[in-house]
Amino acid sequence: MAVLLVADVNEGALATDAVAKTLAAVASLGEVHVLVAGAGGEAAAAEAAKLSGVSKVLFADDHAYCHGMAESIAALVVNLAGSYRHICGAATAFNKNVLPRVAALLDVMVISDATAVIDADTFERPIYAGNAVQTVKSSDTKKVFTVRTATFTAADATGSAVVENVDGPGDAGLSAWVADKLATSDRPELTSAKVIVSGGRGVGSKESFDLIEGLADTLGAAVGASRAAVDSGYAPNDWQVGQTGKVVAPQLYVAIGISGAIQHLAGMKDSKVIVAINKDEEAPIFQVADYGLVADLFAAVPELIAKL
Amino acid sequence: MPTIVTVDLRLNEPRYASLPNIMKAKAKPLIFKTPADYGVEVTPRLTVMKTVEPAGRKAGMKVASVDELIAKLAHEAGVI
Repeated sequence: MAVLLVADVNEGALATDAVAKTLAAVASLGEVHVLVAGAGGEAAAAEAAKLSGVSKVLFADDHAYCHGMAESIAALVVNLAGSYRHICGAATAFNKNVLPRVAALLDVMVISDATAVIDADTFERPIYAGNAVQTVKSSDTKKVFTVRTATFTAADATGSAVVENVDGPGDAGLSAWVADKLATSDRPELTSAKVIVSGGRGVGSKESFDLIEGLADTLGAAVGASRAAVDSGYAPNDWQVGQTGKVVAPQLYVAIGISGAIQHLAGMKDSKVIVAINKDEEAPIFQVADYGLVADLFAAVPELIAKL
Repeated sequence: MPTIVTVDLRLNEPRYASLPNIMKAKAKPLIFKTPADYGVEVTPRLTVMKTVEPAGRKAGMKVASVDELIAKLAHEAGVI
């Protein structure tokens, strides 16, 4: 039986990176059908059809599915679930909202944040903030799981699958979309950025965070923050990297004024190259950093910006 | 109807129980039920096969200056 991959679609735009990486994760499970839900999602459906490994795109053209309302989308997924043994999606805010509801309606459990698909019943997932990796086997008839995409290489866009229209039950009538308040940024999106510059408590103030942003812009990077920096109000919530924030794995991660609490490491230790700048040479971040610079960030960061 | 709301970590201050309320709570009756009373089946459907420590990251090296850091990133790691 095939795999149903629920794609993240927002305002008609496909979260291509998340979908392509999830495709790579589930490639061994067989045929993959991608569900693109939402009116005006023709372009997103066409884009999903191009990803290699997709054998069919199911496109549900209905306004009820436009704003990621879990109640309506879950009803649509459950409606389609009959012919699938696996229902999955990237572990994004969208799927963390939709898939648990799908699982509950199907009376199965959801296996969250899978980091590897071993066989049709067996998955690997991190537990205890990434301090251990558990291999679990599910005996549910249908497996519903989310994939932590950070470590997967995105499937390329060389495929050509067919797009098929599907109907769903429409608006579940349990919730309604009111408004989206979007944080707009010219910088790359945190979870798919190639380079991330992150600041921690050591940065000291919201104003000094400009320094972190300055370095990020010099490198064309996304900006991240530790929980300490977010809690102190130096950086907005959605920049938080770590156990309770985003999990990232860029090519280059620059941690500035971050001590390296285990909860932060859980969110970035899969990065390819880690650079740490911290004035405390005992900081645990240096135990995972490839390159550590023991220096005052207020001297080192401006110098770095000037010399890059 | 019942609703479950998940909230962001920093939404607000939790409402901690006050001492008088903790004392009052002790006097409340405790009713014990089994899952079967609610018609819920709780047989585990997930077996843990093994739990292993993830491959650790080796500590890298300390660099002495910004210049050295830039040189390493550009030539050794090739990321900038």
